[in-house]
Amino acid sequence: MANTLSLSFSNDMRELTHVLQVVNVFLEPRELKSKLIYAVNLILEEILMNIIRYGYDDKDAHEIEVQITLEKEEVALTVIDDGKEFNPLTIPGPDRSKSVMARLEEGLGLQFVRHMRNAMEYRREEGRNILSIWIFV
Amino acid sequence: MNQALIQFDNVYKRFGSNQVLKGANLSIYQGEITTVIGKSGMGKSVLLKHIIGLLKPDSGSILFQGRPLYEMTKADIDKLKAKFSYVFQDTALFDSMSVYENIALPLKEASSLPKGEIRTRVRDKMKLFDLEGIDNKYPSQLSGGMKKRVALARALVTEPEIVLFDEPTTGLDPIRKSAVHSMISDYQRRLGFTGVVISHDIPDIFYISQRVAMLDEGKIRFEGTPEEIQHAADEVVQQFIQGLETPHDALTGVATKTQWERKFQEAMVRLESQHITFSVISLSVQNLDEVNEKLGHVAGQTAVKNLASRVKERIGASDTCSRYDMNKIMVVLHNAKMDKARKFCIKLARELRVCDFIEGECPTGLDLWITAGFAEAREGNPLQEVLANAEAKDSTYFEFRIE
Repeated sequence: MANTLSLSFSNDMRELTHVLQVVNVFLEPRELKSKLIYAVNLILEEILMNIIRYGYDDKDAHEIEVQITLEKEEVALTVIDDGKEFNPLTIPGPDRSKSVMARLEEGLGLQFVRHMRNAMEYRREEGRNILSIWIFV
Repeated sequence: MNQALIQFDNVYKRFGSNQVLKGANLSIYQGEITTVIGKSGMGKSVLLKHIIGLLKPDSGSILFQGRPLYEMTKADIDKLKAKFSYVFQDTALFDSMSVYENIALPLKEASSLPKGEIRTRVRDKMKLFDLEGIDNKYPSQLSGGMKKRVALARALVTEPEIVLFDEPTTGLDPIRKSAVHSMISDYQRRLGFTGVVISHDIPDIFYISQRVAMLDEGKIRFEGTPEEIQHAADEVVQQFIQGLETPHDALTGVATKTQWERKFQEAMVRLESQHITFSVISLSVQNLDEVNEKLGHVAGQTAVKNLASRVKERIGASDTCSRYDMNKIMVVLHNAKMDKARKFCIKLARELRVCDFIEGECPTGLDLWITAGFAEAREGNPLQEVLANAEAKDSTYFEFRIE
C-alpha cells in the first residue's frame, strides 16, 4: 500500500467534501487509531476551508495541493496554495484565562488545529503558502 | 524619554575619609527593572539606601517625579516611603517569627487593615510564591530558595510601587538563582512595580532588566539597555562584564550569549573565506509563564536548562549552542544549509517528550510549546540580520508541542 497520497483540487467549497472522502479512503484501511483519523480530518477541513474562504480576492480557479505521508510513527500533512500570504502560526496561542465559550467565539478552529498537531511549519516560497503539519503517533 | 521616576542628580556621599559617591547621576523609570552593577565595595548598596532615605546625600539631590526629596515635608517622605519595599541581601527574615508572621509584618506595622484583610493578602502572596502549607514553619527550617521566596512575598505583600532588591540571589545555586530572576521578572510584569536591582549575576540580569547602569569610582559610568551595555565601546565596562561572565552559562552549562556571538563571527569568516555554509536556529519555550505558574519557577528554569541539554546532545562537536535569553536557546550549525537546520528542528520535535524537561513526576495536561526559527547565513550578513531572519514569523516558522 502506498504511503503517500497526493491530491490537487480547485478552490471550490464543493470539492472539499470530495477531498476529505478521498483522504478517508486512503486512511481507513491502515488500522490507524480513530483519534488520529479524526485529527487529520479536522486539521485538513479547518485549513482548507480557511484557504478557500479567505485566501483569494479574485473569482478565478486556483489549485490547492495536499500531500499526506504516513510513516511508522508519524503522519505528515503538507498543504500548498497560491492564495494570500497567511501564516497560521502568527495567530496568538489560546488565552487560557478565558472560558471555552469565549475562546470558541474567537475562532477556536485554528486553536484546535494547533492542539491536535505536534509540530507545524510555515513557509512562503515563490508566491505560495507551504504549511506542513506533523502528528506523532 | 519620559521623566524619570527617581533621579540621582550629582550625588556625593562620604563616610569618614572614604568618598563613596562622587557625583552619581542615575535615572530610574516607572514600570521598568533597572539593575545596578559594579565592583564590590563601590557603593551600590549606598546608592540603594539613598533611594529610600536611609542615607542622605552630602551634596546633590535625589528627585522623585522631578521633585527633590530635601524639599519634601516629613509627611510627604512618610507617604513616599510607603510606596517602597526592600529585599535585603541576606533575606533578613526574623528567626523568631513564623513564615506567616514574617510576611504579615509589613501590613501589621504600616497599615490599619483589619485582621481578616491582612490574612487574605498574606494568603494570596503565599499562594503566588508557592508557599502554601508552611505558615507555622520558622526561617531556620527552610531551604535557601524558600527563604528567598518568603522574603519576596514579604516585600510584595504591601503591593509596593517600587521594589529594591539588594543582591537577591546571594548564596543560591544556579537553578535557584535563575528561578529568583525569573520570579522578579514575572511578578514585575504581573504587578507592574518599578524594580531596582543590585546584582553581580551577569548575564542573567540582562534577560530581566530594561536598563542597566554601571557604578564605577563613585559615578555611574554607563547607563543604557542591556543590549547597549553589552556592546559598549568603553573598555572598563567591557572588562567588568567579561570578568564576571563565566565560561559557560551558569544555569544550562552551554555557551553564553557573548561566546555564541563570537562563534557566529568565526563562522562568518569561514563562510566568507572558505565558503563553508552555516545556519542559525533560535528555539524559545513559549509557555514558560504557564510552567512557572503550574509547577513553580525552579521547574520553569529546569525546563530551559533541559532544553539546552537536549539540544547540545544532538549537535555536532563544531556546532555551538548557547543560552540567549531567559527562555531562548540559540544554535550555530556548521556546514549546514537551511534544510539541515529544518531537519534538526523536526528531529527535535519528534524525539522530545515533556518528561525530558520536567524533573520528578511527569505532569499530565502540561505541554511545552516551543518555537524554532532558522536561517542560513549569507556572506556579509550582520548577526542581527541573520537573527531577525531566523525569527521572522512571516518567512519560515516552526512550532512544536511536546507532550
